[in-house]
Amino acid sequence: MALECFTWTTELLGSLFPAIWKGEEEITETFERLPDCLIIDILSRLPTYSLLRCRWVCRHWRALVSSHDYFITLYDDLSRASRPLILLQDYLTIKHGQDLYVVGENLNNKKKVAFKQLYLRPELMINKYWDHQLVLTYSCQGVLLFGDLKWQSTYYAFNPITQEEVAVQHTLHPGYLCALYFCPYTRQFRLLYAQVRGSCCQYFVYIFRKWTWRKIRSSSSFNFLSSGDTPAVVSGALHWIMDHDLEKKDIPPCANGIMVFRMDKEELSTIPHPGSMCNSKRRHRTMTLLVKDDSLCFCNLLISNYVVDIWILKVYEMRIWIKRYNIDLCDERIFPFSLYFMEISSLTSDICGRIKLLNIQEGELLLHLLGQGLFLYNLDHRTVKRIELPPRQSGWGLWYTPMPYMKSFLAIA
Amino acid sequence: MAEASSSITEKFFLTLKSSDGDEFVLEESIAIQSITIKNMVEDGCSSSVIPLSKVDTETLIKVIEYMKMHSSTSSNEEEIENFDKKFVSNSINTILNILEAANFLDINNLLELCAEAVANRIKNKTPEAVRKIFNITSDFTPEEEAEIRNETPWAFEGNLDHSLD
Repeated sequence: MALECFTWTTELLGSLFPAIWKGEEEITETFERLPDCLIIDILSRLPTYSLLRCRWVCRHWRALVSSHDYFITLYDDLSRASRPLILLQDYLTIKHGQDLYVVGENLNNKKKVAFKQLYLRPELMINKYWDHQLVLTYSCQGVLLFGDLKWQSTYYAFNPITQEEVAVQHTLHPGYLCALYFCPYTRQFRLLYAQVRGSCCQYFVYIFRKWTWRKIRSSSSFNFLSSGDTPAVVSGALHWIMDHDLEKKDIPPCANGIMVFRMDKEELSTIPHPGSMCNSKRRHRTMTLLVKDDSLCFCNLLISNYVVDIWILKVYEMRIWIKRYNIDLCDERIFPFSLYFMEISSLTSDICGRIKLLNIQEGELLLHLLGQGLFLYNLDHRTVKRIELPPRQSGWGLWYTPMPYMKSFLAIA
Repeated sequence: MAEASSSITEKFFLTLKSSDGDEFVLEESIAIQSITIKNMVEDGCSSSVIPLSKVDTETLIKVIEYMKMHSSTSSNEEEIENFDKKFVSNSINTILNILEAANFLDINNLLELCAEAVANRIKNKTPEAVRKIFNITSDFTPEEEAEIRNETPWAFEGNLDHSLD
């Protein structure tokens, strides 16, 4: 009997309750009580542009979307939960302005890999000054930093989501920009710059919100320089592989193999890298620091046999490293390209620029092999999949920089 | 109609009453997709009619239709997929009602489906159209409106949809 009754209800659907647009009075009655949690749920599913438009609906929605920390953290969480996107800067088309592609929003979906060109307002400085050879240098919490190769004292920070762009200039002595970082304590974006004079190094911090460069006191006798890689951020500190010691140029810095910058105290220090002392500058160039599950991860590419050893810093304070993974780049069962790759690399001794380990997320290591493309290697299953690049007329060749990227609404200044 | 009858196959039935006073009898195993109803059953409050004061008849019919499709073992994945596709083609007004009901009844899958559907419908719409759909009156001054537009003018470029459905 009960089932009969239900059949009756389904039959009614088509006849009695057709999907028609109802008068506005009825809408009034319906939606004034839509709770905030549902509005947030709906808005959080919108693409960025729509979300930004929705700030314009009413004060309450704007409060939910823009000023409300909830949304910013929501987006932080979303991007942390999902795989970071891969950003490509296309050097070949740079003379028409910047071309940036985001690849990988749908990497989990086997059917298609979503990629799209980022929208860049034409009046942006990074578009206007294309002839300055602006190179995508750092990517941090949704903000990209471009270095100006022509005027080496100018940088442009840019958030593709909010289209906020900030130019930074300095009158410091020549040196190296070591990092663009987001200080979690002050929620500010900052730059770390190393000014080099002879064998002395002085570090400076730039705070976007205050528009000032400030000398770091703790760095007065710290004369080490990091490699130009993106620092690995763990436990409130930035970490790089040490590149050289300005005071003792010939001695490889194994004991000071990793350079550390604490964001809260603005202190610079070093720790040794794990594994045996290699005492070879060349070998240091093939080391990379990444982050896996909030732990510092030391990846050591051994040139002699094309093996990557991955060490995890298990206990940060105690510096307890565990050698956890070992990737054999020559294993043809895993890497279909290995033979070709070997031939190429045997021709040139400089392989550090050919293999870049970019990022580890959800147990997958993102590798960029110059001339081969981008690959995701699953550390536990030892499987590899290639990431198809967006199609372009002249092919991608060697002229692109891949970089991990995540969307965020964070304001730069 | 309201009795919770137990047959040989041990099927239990619940009676749900909409805000309009209409009663619907439904298998318990289907109804407990709603966590709210499930909790009531577990607390022993389901012997009589379950009043759903926040859900009108039209919405309740849709919700029951959804729960039936999503619980029945006979419907395969393709059927469910097609059903969901058709389901979200209801008017946005109806979907918002169902969304609210799903929130009240705590049916997570249905809430997901509806929230996604609403987001899809409004994603290309102008703020004006979104206001009308949600029956919101703008409380910005014209100066403020201009300022917000200027913050992100690119968000307003392209072919935006002015329609209300």
